[in-house]
Amino acid sequence: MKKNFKRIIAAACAAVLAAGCMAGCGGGSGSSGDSNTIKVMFMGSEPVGWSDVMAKYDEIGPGVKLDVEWVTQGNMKDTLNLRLTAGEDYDLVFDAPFLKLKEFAADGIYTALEDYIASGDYPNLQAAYTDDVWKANYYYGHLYAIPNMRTYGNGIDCVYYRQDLADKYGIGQIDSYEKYQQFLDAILANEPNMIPLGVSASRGFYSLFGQDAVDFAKNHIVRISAGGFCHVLLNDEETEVKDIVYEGGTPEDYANFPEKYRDGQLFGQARFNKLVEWRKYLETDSLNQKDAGAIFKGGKAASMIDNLDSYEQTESDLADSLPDAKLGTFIINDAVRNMEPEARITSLQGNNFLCIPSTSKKIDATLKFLDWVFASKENHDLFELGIEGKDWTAVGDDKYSLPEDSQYTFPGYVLTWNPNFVRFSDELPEDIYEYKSYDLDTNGYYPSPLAGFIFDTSNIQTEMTKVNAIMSENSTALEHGALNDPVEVLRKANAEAEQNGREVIKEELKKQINEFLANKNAQ
Amino acid sequence: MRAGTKKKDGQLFVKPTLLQDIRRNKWLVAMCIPAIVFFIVFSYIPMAGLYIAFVNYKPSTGIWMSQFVGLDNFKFFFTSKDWITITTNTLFLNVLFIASSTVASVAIAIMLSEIKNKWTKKITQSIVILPHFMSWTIVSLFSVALIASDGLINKIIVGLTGDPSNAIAFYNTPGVWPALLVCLKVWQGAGFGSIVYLATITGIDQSIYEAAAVDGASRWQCITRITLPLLKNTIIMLTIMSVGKIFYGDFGMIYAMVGNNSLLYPTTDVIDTYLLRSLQENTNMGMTAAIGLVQSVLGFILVIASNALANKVSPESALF
Repeated sequence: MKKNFKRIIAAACAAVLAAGCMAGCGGGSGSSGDSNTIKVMFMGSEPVGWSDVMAKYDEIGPGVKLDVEWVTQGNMKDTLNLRLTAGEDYDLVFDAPFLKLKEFAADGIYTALEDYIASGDYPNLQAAYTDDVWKANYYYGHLYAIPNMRTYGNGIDCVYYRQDLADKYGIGQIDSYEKYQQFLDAILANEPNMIPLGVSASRGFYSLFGQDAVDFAKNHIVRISAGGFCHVLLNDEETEVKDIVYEGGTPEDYANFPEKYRDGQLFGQARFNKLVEWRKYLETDSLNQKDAGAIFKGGKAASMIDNLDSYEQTESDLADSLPDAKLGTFIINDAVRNMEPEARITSLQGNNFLCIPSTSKKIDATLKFLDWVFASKENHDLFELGIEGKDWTAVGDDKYSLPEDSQYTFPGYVLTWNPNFVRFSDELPEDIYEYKSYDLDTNGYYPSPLAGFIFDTSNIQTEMTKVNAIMSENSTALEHGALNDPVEVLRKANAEAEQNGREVIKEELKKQINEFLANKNAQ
Repeated sequence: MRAGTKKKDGQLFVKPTLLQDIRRNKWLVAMCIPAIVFFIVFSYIPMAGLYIAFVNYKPSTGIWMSQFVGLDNFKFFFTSKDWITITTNTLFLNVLFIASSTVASVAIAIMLSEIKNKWTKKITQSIVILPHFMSWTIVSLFSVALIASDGLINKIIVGLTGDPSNAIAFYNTPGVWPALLVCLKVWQGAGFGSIVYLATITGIDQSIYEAAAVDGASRWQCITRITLPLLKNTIIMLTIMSVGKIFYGDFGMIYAMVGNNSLLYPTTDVIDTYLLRSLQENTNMGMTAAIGLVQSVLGFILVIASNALANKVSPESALF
């Protein structure tokens, strides 16, 4: 009996041990104990030749060693969430509004850095951006994140089209909506197997017929997404909110706005009607199209909407699949096409950031490293482009050329992007190079009256969730011009949103903007 | 043998106490321990985390230190006007899925069991099971070739009728989607689901069929009078088990097929896709946990109810 009992106990222990082993997996890696080594998490995959760059860095760097963990984009959000909420010791992590930044900044997971930057101990890091940019990137009153940005914009919106077909139908270089429509009509009439305009399900017509945010800003109006898009009207002194109206409003709703906006046409209503008219240029199944780029580059679509950042990739892909095709570029915005000053609105906010978790005990060493990266072109280029002479060669002051066998590709947005140190490929066509240089020029931008404002929705989660669900019911279809009478659809959605707590969102938005403006003007 | 019932010879079966039971079957109980430990560690202990549904969860403070908000996390769902549509969609689609998959699985199992040639049987079985291993993302990509407006199905329709206006714009027509999703579900799962039924059929005593054949029963009569009645318990058991998940839309499938195509929401928006849509901008662990809890509790109630129903109608096929 006793022997049997022992056996049972032994079997049970074995089972518990086995379960324990299974439960034990998934533990993370801890911080290294060395006080000169900082633990870093970057998004992306480790560049080929990274160890050579690290060796060179150790040789010429500031004496701070790096222990870098690379996390692929698909895993980044979860990994960041798990590692940091579990309180693991990282000294520097990549984060962004599309990852966890908004929540983590609100929850105090990151160190507030404004005093460190202002201390003057890190002059090169401080000089990386102007004071306006530093201020605009505060989250909830503190600098929780160091932006990685080269330009104030989000790239130059453009339509890529088949220049060979435009030439074939006698349209030539497209530089206006009229010419673009002629092109689309020609394709529709003469190329039965082609889609005139290929769009992705998620984006629809995207930046086509976009609203004129610079004109808005000059009239103290800002377009914001807060449970649907709305236009916020500030008083002339820009000290407080005068009115907030959601898109799709009636002339009565817009009574407080300047005359030319009152019919709502400039606030998106004309655009949505235009999209319904242009729906005929899309494929029937556009709402299920997963990859517009693929159908354009494969020759099934005659044009697509994107921005100039992807020019090199688009051109080489198109050349690979259709050697006879020629790529044309139509810069959508008139003022941008003519490279005018103050052509685009900017919030001065970055899309990519570096953060120091509040658990870090090596804040000074980490900032010393960042200061070194921005201390000189050489330091910066070592990370962004690799070893000079092997991975790349400098061409003049702002270009580089790559040798045939170059493999080093560093995702600059995780560390090195900065307006002071930009190099372009020397293979860009002259006009694209000029547009890209214009994109970097701060004179090309008009600052938004609400630059730096971030809407904190943590207190109105229930309302936001309900309203987002209502607005998302139609938003994609509207962006595809797929619903007849779009303004009526918007108004119906608005009415429903009102019943589900949008008033609360509106009041909260108004309150937060007024607080923001009061703070800004007090400084 | 159910406790307390009478044995055939009339002798009363005395229900043993738990301890007696364990002592008598100690080796069987010992073999259960790994499973019991597994469920305690991975299913029961984590249930404590359900508390997250009642707090305003902040990762920095942790679940237990976050502010308690009562039922606030449930509000957004039950006060939205869509929750009834969405819940109905979820139930309707799942009832269709369960019913059609069961019918198809049983039919496939019977057909497979009737095939006598060993090779034909093996090959057919492999082919019908294969779709189960295909991910919905892949299915959604190649289904475009079938149901796009210039896809195979529309080419056939137009070819047969000679009139392009007969083509169906599947991606713009919500009405066809319940049927379409059911077809895909059956195509994907029925073959795999037939395995259990096939195993049950294989276990049926062959002498019953021989006796029936001697009495002059046709093949069809053998199926309807012997195989189907003997499959009844398995069918009821598997149905009760799938009822437990009836409040979960098949997210992997529906989101892969429909994506953000809002034109199709009226018939395809289920609880899970609605949650994704309303919370993807402002992720909130408390709210998602709250709805997950609602889905589980409702599923649990349905399982209990359907088991009770089974107990009443045909006691031997009830799960417990």
